[in-house]
Formats: sequence, C-alpha cells, structure tokens
Amino acid sequence: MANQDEFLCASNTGLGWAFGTSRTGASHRKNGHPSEDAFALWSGSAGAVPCITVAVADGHGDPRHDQSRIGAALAVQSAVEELVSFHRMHLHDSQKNIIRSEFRADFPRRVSRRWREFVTDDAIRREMVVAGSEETVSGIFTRYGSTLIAASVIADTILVGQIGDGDLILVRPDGTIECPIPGDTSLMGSETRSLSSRDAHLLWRTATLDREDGGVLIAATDGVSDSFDGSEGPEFRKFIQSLVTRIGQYGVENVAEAMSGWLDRYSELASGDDMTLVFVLIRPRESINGTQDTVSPEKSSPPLGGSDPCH
Amino acid sequence: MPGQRVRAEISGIELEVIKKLGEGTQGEVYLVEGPDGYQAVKWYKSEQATADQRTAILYLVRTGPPFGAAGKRFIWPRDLVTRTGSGQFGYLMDRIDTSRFAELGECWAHLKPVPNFSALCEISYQLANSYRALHLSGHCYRDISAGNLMFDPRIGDILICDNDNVGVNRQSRSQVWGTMEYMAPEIIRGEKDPSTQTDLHSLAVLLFYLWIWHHPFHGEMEYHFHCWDIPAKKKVYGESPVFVFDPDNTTNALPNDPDYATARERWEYCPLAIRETFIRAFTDGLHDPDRRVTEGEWQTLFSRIKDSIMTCPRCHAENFSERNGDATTCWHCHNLLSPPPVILIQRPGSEIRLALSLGTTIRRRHIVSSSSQEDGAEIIGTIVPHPDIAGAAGIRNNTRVIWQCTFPDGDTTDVPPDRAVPLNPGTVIRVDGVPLTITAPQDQG
Repeated sequence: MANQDEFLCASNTGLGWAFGTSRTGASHRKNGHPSEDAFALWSGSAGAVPCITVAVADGHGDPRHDQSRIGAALAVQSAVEELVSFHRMHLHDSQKNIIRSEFRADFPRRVSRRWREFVTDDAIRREMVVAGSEETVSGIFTRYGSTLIAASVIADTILVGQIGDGDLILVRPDGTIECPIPGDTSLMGSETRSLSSRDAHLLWRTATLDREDGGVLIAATDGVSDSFDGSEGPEFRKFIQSLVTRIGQYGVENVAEAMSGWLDRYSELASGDDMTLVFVLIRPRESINGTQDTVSPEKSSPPLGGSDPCH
Repeated sequence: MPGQRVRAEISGIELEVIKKLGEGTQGEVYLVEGPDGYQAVKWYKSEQATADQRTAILYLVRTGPPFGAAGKRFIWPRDLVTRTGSGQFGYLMDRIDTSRFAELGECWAHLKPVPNFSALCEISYQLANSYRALHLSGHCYRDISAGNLMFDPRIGDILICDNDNVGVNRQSRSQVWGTMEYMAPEIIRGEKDPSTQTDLHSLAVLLFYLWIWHHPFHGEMEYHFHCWDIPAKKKVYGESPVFVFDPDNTTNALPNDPDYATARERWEYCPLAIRETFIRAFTDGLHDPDRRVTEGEWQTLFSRIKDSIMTCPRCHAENFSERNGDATTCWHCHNLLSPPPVILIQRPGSEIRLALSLGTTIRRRHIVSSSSQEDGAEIIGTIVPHPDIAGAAGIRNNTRVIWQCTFPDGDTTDVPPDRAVPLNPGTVIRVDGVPLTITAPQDQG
C-alpha cells in the first residue's frame, strides 16, 4: 500500500506500466484529518503469464465510518490478493471467455468476503470486538466502510470491477473513451454503495475488456471527478483525454511525478476532497515498443481540459 | 470497427458499423445500420472465430428460431457477417432495447428495478416456456446462465441472448459448454456432453438465482474453500454437490454469515410449492438426470403461483394466497390477509383458480392449454376498479369479442369489448365457451 506522499509504480515489460498517487484533500489538511483514500499496485507473472493489478479505495467520510481509512487500505489489499489469486488459478484456462465469465461470477463474492475477513481480524486484533461475538463483528463493518475499484490486465484481457463511486475509464490509443462500468444513477448526492453495505457482493458492477491496441486505464476516487463536473461531465472527460495526451507527449514517469502537484491544486481550487489516481499504460497486444520519455511537463499547466490545445 | 462496412453473407446486404455497444466473453457487439434500419452484430474475437463456429452460425441462420411466441424471445442469428480482408466474422441479430430490458446483475446492483413477485413469475414462466419450445425443436442451448437472459423487470417479458451456443441435441459440437456454476454435475465429471437434459439442470440453477439471488450449492463447502480454484469448483458443482436447503443433508447448509441473510430471507418468502420443486430439482434431479424438473412442470408451477398473488391492502406488498382459502399474514407488514375472491376457470379436463385483486390479468393460457408454439400471454381480461363506487371492482373484457354473462339471479347480459363485469360472487362469464365463475372467499373450499 502506498504512502500518500509519494507516487508508486509497477511495471511488466510485456504489459505496461502502472502509476498511482494519493493526496490528502485540502479540507482534510486544513482540519488535520488524514486521507481516507488508499491505492495499491502489483505486477508480476505466474506460469509465464504476466499480470498488472491495481486497486483504488475511498473510505467513507461520515463519523459513523471512523475506521474507514483502515477499511480503504484493507479494501485495496483484498482486491490485489484476490485478483492475483484469480490470475494464478486461471493460468491454464485456454479459453478467455472462461476467465471472463468466472471473474464476473466469482470476484464480487470472493473479494467482499476477503475484505470482511480482514476487517474482522483487524477489529479483533485491535480489541474493538471480541472474537466469536457475531453481533458485534457484523456491526463493525460499517465503521470500516469503503468503496473499491479494482482492475487487472492479464495477458490479452482487462478485468474491471467497482463497488461504490469513483471512476474507471479506458482511453484507447485513438482517443476513444470507454467507460466499461455503468454509472449508478439511483443514488442521490454523496450516497454511495459500500463494501460494508448489506449484500455488498451483489452490488458490484463488473466488466471485461479486450486489451487489443492497449491504451491508458485510469481509476480514480470521486474527489478527482468532483473537482470538475462529475463522472459524466464533459470537463472531466477533457481532463482525462488531456492527461493521456500528456503521457504521450512527456512520458509516463514525468506525468506521474507531476500528478501529485496537479491533484493538490484541484483539491484546493475545487472539491477539497482526498484524491487518488492510478493509471495503467497498457501496451498493444503484440507490440513491445518503448515509451518516449522526452520533455518534463512540470512547467506546463495541469491538464485542465478547457484550455488544453489538444481540444 | 466503427465507420467500417461489413457484409451479411446470405442476404448480401452491406451494413455500416456505427458504434460498439458492449463486450462479452466471446466477442464484441456493434450497432450497425443497413436497409432494415438499426440492428446489432456480434463480432467474434479472433480465437473464437473458428470454422466450427462459422458452420454453427450458418446452420442456425438457416434453421431459424423456434416457432411461435417463444421463438420471438430468442435473439437469433439472422445472417453471417464478414468483413473484407478479415478472417474474423460475426452474426447479425435484432437490437435489444437496454432501456427496457435488464440483466439480473443490474437489478442486484440497483441499476434497474428489482422485479416484483408477479414479474418474477412471468420471467420464470417465459423462461421455461422458451426452453421448452427450443428443446421441442430438437435443440439444446448448452450455456443457460443469467448472462444470457434479459428481462423487463416491470412486467416480466424476457429475451434470450447469445443463441450462437444453440446446437442439435446430442449431436453438435460447440466451443461453449457453459460456465461451471451452471453446468450439470455429469458434464463436470466428464461423463456426459451437453444435452436438453443437462439444460434442465442449468435452467433450475438460473431459476434459483432469479428467486433466491444465490447459487444452490454455495453453502458451507464453498465458504470454507480459501482457494476457489478449478478442483474446488469441480468438487462443489460436480463431484459432491449438495443443495444448501437439502432437508435431509445439511452438510452444505448456508453459513451463519450476514452475506447469506438475503438468500435465507428470500427462501422463506418463496411459496411452499416453489421450495418443494427446487428441493426436488437439486436432490433427486441432481443425482438422477431422468428425475429433473421439466420445463413443462416449471411452466405450470409459475403460472399457478402467479395466479395466487394478492396485494396487501395496507402496505401493497405482494403475497401468495393459500389455495385452501385460509387467511395468511403479509410477509412485509404482518397484516392479517383475508383470502381474496377467486375466479374458477373450468377448462376441459382441468380447473384453474385465479386470485383476484386490482390489476390481476386473465390470459389466454388460463382459458386454453398452450401449445408448444404459443405461450398464451394474450391478456383477455383485467381486474379494474369501479369508476364511481369506491372499493368495488370488475373484470374488463380486453378481447374483441362479446362475452356472455349470467348473474346469480339468472339474468343474462352481453359484455362488449372494453366493458366490465361487476365482481359479484356467483356471476358466470363465458369466454370462447369456457365458464369463468366468480367465487367468494368462503366458497373456495
């Protein structure tokens, strides 16, 4: 799991690179509250099949969720462990459609259960509940409440899942934006689905994508899109597209280094919320071309869509 | 693909690819425009675009869907689609109105409305009816699962997608033999190939998911497998499957964990007849394929259950009335529910009881036995409120023919289309020669 003051990266030469950063929101810094976001990156391979896995979580801010910071950290840990385990179990599945359908069938149930196990263990270890006391243990989940977005690039397939708010977007090399997870329009205001919700395993939205020509997969907590005009807003879409343009212009590492400053600025100017953003630069399926790390973007303005020349 | 042109091989028409609509496990689905307006094309991923699959599509295009109303629910391949310079291919099909139709997972995630009991009965009835028609046409589906079903959550109309998996019973080869959680145990154990008989197991699993929101074998065994790998799945689904509500074998009962509360609650809400049929499907039918619950049995069951639905006058929750006319308690608000009036339909050889409350519909299948080709879904009568008298109701004639009606005092009258008969006990309506008798609760016996 990441320290919020640094960006982390993970890479696999066959698949691509993953970068992530998490920033404490301006309003949280002002009030002396820690960030309630978390993210995790993992790369590796098993049986010579490479895999990159990322996860982003946003602990709920309400006082009822007083352990949500830990809940978010346990959420990303659950996601990475479950996806890595899933990857190892399906090494020998020759048919991709089997991997995809089993992800859809199993991942929501297994990851939700793993998170609850982690939360229970944590609560018992910290003596917040007594082991074996069922009522108390089931009530503890609310205190750890968190959203979770998880994605895994395995060979030629991209698996994605989400519970609660936040954004998951894939920008293809031709600039096409794909939002594989349908938006949840049934909730009002800051309401969100949660790992601590009743029937959490039924509340997941999952999708599978073909890696094809690769692209940039972006997962972010809602603090980022709320700094613009929300998940569906044109300004947020412009931000995403210009972010991808900058990766092409300046290289992934330079964009990753500059990201923390950009997010801090958005938080100060707009949402004030914690912000976490992970992006995976996915290589085309059969190409292993390198990236062109060229000019540092630090002197350039943050990729706010409206003023970006690429639009 | 968007912007490119593809060709329907048999009709010879050219189609323009407009945009990608979605991505499934076998391929992508695109919106296309041609002489017949907007349609959809499923385009196979390269590894799925095999010669066998191409042959299978051409066979299905030439054969066509099952006849009648059931056949219209299958989103059937209409033509083979190819693209110049590409070895890949796909097939043309009707476009699905996703603003109307939902997947089960969308209802679970509250992205679409959750179907009420009445809609659930209709979905289940139409599913059984559709697969009955498919099986009678000599085909098996081989991949029955929630992923291939879409339904209108408000009224229960269904669509069955991904029909490229359909094959000739006990003959065709296919790339897709279903996801393991829906597979019959004998397929998982490697003893049998997919057939109409194994479809019956998959159908029962899908119906269980629809009603209970849970897998019939996800109990203590699955709960304690920390590593949910292929050997674990083979054990739970194929080698040692035990129904979570098996009354005689509780080794795989639901664990005592909040994750299972909804499954437990929904099982308790189910009418006894549905619970008994699921028990039979996942005990006797599990070990002896010849004793599986047939599509016809499911069809009759869900039609009968739907006919017993009544609405609680206090909280408007749907409840199932008891056939013996006893009062019941509302599952939602615990209000004591008096038995509703029923209509007795005396068909040749059988009698049907339909509980009457506002909104209840009398369908063609209540009057005549449905053939394999028709599902009898046509609404012939509806219970409507009296326009002037509060609390009074009547049966509206939704047909285009005049009904003959005899009142308890022996008077007779004609009921033209769109007019209603008062809901008075003892009144007999004749529809196509079949008597429908309105019966008071205390006379139900």
